Amino acid sequence: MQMEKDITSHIEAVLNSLDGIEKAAPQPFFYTRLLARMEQVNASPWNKWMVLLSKPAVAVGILSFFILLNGLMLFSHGSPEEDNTSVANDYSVVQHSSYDPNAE
Amino acid sequence: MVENSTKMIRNEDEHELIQQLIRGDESAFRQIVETRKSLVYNTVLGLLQNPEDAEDVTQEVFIKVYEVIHQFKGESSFSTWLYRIAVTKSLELIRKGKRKKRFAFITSLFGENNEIRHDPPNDIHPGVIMENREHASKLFEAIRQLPENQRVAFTLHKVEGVPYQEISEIMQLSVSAIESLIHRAKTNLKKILKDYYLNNK
Repeated sequence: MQMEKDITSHIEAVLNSLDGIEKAAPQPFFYTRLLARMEQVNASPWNKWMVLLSKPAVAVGILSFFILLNGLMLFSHGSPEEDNTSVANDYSVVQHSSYDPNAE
Repeated sequence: MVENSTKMIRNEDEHELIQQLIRGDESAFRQIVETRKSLVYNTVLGLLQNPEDAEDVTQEVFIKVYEVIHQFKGESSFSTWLYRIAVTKSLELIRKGKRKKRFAFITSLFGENNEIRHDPPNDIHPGVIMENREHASKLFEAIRQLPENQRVAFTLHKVEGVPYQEISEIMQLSVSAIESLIHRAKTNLKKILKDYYLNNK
């Protein structure tokens, strides 16, 4: 019983240990160190690319370019079925289904 | 280091500073950093409990602010927006630390010595009153075992003294959800501390 009481009072003391906590401050010259870090980050070429690519306008532009390129490739070559038909006609190859009653 | 005075600027001035920063004015950025570094540093320190990590993350928060200030639409207050970035950045580091710890455990299985190298920090918030440091150390150890949401809500309220209403805006939850989170955090902390004392008696 006494032990239970001790534990409870300990727990209360621990939970109240942050009462009256004071504000902490970073080390002096924080802004100077921040600027130095920002320059370091900006100097990295990889980061420059990432910043450029992460801009919505650039990202959407690149995506649109690839979609357009994809579309152009598709339409400029026609569909593969058409190609097969024209080749079959050129070489007089007639394709019959095995269930076709007119097949030879 | 402990800071006793908090430099505050009026809302209108802050709005003007933000507009200047969006236009790329460096002196506006400097003023925002100088007036808000304490808020960011204390929030981050409360969550990370390590002054070096807190300084690093505080820098990351301001770099982020500089990069995305044009996205600040004023729907919440600037301090709420800053708190949100500070909490997100701190949680990123905590998650990274947990991943490292898991990896360290695996490497320790195959390493020469069987010790886990990535231990949790032993530093205590420098603002804790001297006679409370031992108790506070146990409390922070217990806080680290709480689920993420409870940890954030409890720390913001207890360490930073942020009111429930603002915590609800920072965490984008209702005030009653915040009350419930903090209540559950206290219950869990009592349980963790009780287990600790029973096992160490």
